[in-house]
Amino acid sequence: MKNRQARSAAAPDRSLLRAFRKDYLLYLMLAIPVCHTLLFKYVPMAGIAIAFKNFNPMVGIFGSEWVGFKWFQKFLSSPQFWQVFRNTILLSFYNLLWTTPAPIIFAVLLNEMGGRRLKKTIQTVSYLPYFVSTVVMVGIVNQLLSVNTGVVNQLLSGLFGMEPIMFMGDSSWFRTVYIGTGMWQGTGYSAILYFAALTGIDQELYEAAYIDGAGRWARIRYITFPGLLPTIMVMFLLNIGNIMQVSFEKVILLQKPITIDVSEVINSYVYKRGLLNMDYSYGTAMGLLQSLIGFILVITANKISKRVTETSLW
Amino acid sequence: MHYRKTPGEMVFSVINTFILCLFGLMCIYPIIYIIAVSFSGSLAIMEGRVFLWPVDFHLKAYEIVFSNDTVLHSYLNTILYTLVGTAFNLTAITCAAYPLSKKRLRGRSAVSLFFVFTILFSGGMIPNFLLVQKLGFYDTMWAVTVPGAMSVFYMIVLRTNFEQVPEALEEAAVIDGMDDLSILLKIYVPLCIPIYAALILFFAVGHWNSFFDAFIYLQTKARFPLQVILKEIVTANTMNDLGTGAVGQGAMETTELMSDNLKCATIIVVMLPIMAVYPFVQKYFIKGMMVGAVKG
Repeated sequence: MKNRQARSAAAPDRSLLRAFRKDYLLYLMLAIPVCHTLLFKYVPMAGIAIAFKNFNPMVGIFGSEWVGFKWFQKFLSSPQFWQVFRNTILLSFYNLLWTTPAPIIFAVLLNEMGGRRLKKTIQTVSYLPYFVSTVVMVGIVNQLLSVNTGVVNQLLSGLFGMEPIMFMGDSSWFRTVYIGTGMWQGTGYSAILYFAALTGIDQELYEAAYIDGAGRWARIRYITFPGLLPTIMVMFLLNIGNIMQVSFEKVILLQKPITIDVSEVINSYVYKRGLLNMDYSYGTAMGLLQSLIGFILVITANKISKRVTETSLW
Repeated sequence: MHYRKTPGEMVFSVINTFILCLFGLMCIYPIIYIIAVSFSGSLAIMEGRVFLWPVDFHLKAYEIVFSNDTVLHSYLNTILYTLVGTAFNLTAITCAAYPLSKKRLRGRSAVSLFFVFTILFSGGMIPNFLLVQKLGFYDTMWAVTVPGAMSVFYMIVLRTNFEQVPEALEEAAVIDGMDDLSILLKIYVPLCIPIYAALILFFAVGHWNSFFDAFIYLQTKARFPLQVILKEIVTANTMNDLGTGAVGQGAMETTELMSDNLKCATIIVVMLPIMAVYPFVQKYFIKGMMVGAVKG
């Protein structure tokens, strides 16, 4: 044994070569995704360099001159910065506030409900909206909330005699529509994770608590909730990490020129300034700043969570 | 164990069931409403008489949608992108997951880290766009199928599944003189059919629903997938805005229709394949989600 170790230490190259020759098919296989990732993930990462350059497509990335933090300064001092920054943070914050508890409440309530078939049906129906594409969802919302013919305005005026509301063309309704559709699409699907956590809770705990005289609310409060807490925290932390990443596909599809004061977020602004206007360097700098803020947020949240609840992402 | 209920808890049960049924209805109602509108007469829609059921039932909207070349062409495009894209996805993750599931492989953890790192950091929209342009993928089907081929998350899911296949099977195959590629294709893949089913569904739905890549990378109308065409129809006010000229006679009537009836019919046509397979495959979706969640 000792002898063999010494030999392989003396000739590491040969054993490596032998391993390579034996598994060459595996390495060849692996080469495909490795090259793909190198090209489509790592090359764009290196491309972030253009945020610090004055990128000119004519001379390419290497030919363009370095300008340091010029674009960051330009963005931070531009009048749009505070608007898009504020919109991004507020939209994400309100979104988090609503979409975090909704699936938890749904999962707990469904768990408390009797009747297996009804339970199964409601669960199946609840994650159907998740498989609806963003474009279809926006199309549906446009129809439902339409001023003249939409069913929501029909109901409001029919039941309460209210004036029709311009849901899609009014800044004050933008966030509500964004979050409402998010809850429609995501609640059932996110609840799947909580169902999994709920089935992991020992049923004997409930029986013991019942014998000790704990009512339904006490059982939820002292058994169900603590059982769910680690999952809740992990999901919350992941969501914090995405707080800067507003779904801009949805923003771009939902926004109208009239609601731009509320709906323009960093992502959609990067798209318009960076891609449509071809301010490539400026756009990349804005995107980088956004990821940096998101990164700091997730690290901070993780630290706090580690201290308070002993749950952490890493 | 049977829990005896206090009167308060009984009231809770009733209210709880009611709330959850309401929630279930809210999840499905928007889709029912769109179906109802798509079959209804335009007058009934204007007067707001459509809620649950088609009023003045007719199929005119669907006739227009199915005779519209732009829609049909984009349907074929979407089918093509979905097939090709899913095939690329499966190839990429299988080629990564299988070697990485072998504990004997040298450099295994380094390569894993190489992949996982890309979950945390990315270049962002503009460097990606410039790369796609530089490679000559701009305005081709490769732009929407190739760059996203590798999915680290699903690769890990698949790798976990491969690791659960008994090693004795591989050893026996090696003795029989099979090489790694045939072992993968003839032993491992057939044994992992259930997880492949889930993965195919996830990828296919993803490609079917994807909008943004096509929106920024494709320029020629003839290459647009369904979702981009649907976006144009949903935001357009008349069929003429589409510039298809497929409307022809009875333009007045069609323009009127375009408002709601036609939009809803198009939405339904776009959703149809997913809604049609959903009842049969939803258990695979859940399975896939669970596998990912547990192994995270």
